[in-house]
Amino acid sequence: MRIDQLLPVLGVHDAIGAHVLQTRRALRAAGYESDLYADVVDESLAAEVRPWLDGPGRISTGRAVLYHASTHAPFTPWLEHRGRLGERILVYYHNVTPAEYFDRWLPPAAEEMRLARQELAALAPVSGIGLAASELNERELVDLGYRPTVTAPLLVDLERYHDEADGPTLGRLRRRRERGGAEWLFVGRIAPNKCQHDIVAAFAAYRRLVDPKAHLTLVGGVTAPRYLLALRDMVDALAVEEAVDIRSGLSHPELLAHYAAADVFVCLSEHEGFCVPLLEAMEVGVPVVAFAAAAVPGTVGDAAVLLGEKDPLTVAAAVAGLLDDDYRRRALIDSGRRRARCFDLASTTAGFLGAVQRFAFGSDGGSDGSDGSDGLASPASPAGVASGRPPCTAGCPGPG
Amino acid sequence: MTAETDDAAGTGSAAVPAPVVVDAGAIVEAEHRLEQAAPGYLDKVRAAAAALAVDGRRGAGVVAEVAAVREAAALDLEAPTASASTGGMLLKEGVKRLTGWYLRYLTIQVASFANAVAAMSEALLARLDELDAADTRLGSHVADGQRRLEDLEARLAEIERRLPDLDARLGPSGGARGPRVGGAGEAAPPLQP
Repeated sequence: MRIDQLLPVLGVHDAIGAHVLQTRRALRAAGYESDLYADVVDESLAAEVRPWLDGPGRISTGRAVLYHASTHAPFTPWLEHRGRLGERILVYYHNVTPAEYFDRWLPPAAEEMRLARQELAALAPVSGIGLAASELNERELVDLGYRPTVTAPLLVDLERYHDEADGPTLGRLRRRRERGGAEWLFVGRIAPNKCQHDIVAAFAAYRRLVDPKAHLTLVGGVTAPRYLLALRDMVDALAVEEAVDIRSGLSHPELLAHYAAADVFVCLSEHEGFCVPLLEAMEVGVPVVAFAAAAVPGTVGDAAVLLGEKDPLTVAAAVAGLLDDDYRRRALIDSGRRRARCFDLASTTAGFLGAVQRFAFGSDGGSDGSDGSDGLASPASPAGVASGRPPCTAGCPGPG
Repeated sequence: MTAETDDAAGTGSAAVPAPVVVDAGAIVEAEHRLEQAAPGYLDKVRAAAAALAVDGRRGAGVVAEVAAVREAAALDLEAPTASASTGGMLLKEGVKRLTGWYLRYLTIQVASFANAVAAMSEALLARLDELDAADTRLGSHVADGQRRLEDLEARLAEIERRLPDLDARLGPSGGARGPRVGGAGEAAPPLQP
């Protein structure tokens, strides 16, 4: 049997791209044939994926398509048509950023986001299941008419974050730390919905009030160049240009170096579909201070300082309070590590595969699952899925 | 199974923890200290963050429009060249490289024009602010002058009211040096214009 994956864009340094590659690995390990198809592919990943036009022309009962919805996809009408003809389609929703965040900074992208939401709605009637990276995403699918729906977190190989960090970068960052001053870090695309401007504001207040030697590093690819320019202007206007670095295109070892040197991970995003960097920070032992919005609370559980508002002084005070209290800081780091283990690759893969298999081919391997049968008892299910819960649940410190 | 929120990975996300509320007293004290250490800086920080917020709190009216012109002047030359096919990508990349020098030449001039328009607008705004300030000062002078005029008129009226008494007091001894102003009981002649 075959479960192919289809997505609009396969990018490098991209959580969706990493998830898709992990998924393919897991599907193949479970005995499925699985290929990747996309519309737009980063040159460096061209060997991993085929153009969607090269996909199988005939619809087969032995094939399902797992579509990753995250942005506008010009092939959606084609996919919808194949769904109406009987092809098994599963939609994995990574979330589409609300268009209003980009109306001002990148109007073409805003238009694509509006199109993406229309396309997502159009696929609801032909989808066997709506899988979601978070409960926030799942609620959106339910609102669009997807039935059934399941939350299945992104597959993230957190073990990679224990690889060796880049030596020169780490050395430079450690020498800076030795001169004193807390190291703030945020990892995520430089994008209006991730609100790096609020982080800069809070950092500026913190630096003036608490720690004149503090430093902030913002790591991420640039989605909206005008927003980046405005951000740089803001940094200059607040006279913190010598204390703020904005970096893009870091290699994995360089990123690890920044995590290793960080004292606190500050996330003030207003919209996130999951936010993998939060897991990364918790995994490597960097305490997290975050604004409680969108999917962020669901990702961090009670393993972060979650703020109900993000006035610069409030955030600065929260960070100062955390860094000044060594006991509380260590407790939060430990809590973060336990939280990250809830998303360990084995657990999330088992849950994800269980959900996919349940609805790709049904419990009897041939039905479409609409008869309400529960596929959990299928002999094809990997070990640990029979109960519907991976083993880590009992130890998870989450609020549930 | 219908639209149940099945948590396939069991991440325990059935309930979301309540956000932490930072001590309000600590915030107030911190604000006071920051204001003493750097007067006006916190307001500047908040305004800077608000200006980049999603609801576009760039300011109202003309100020916001001038800011929008400056933002629009930041033209992005890095057009995407990704394509579903290798041939398409190569074609787009080729066109981009062939026309890049020309587009850059045009873009610099367009951006300069837009920035010049924004600068002109800002200069006009500054001039308007000056005129507004001058108008305010003039208004203050006019009001002051008005008050002084009213005061003088009131004093003049008082003098006119008291003239008959003055004439009466001066009597015949003051009359040799000037027009007879009349004795007691006689009405004083009107003042000459």
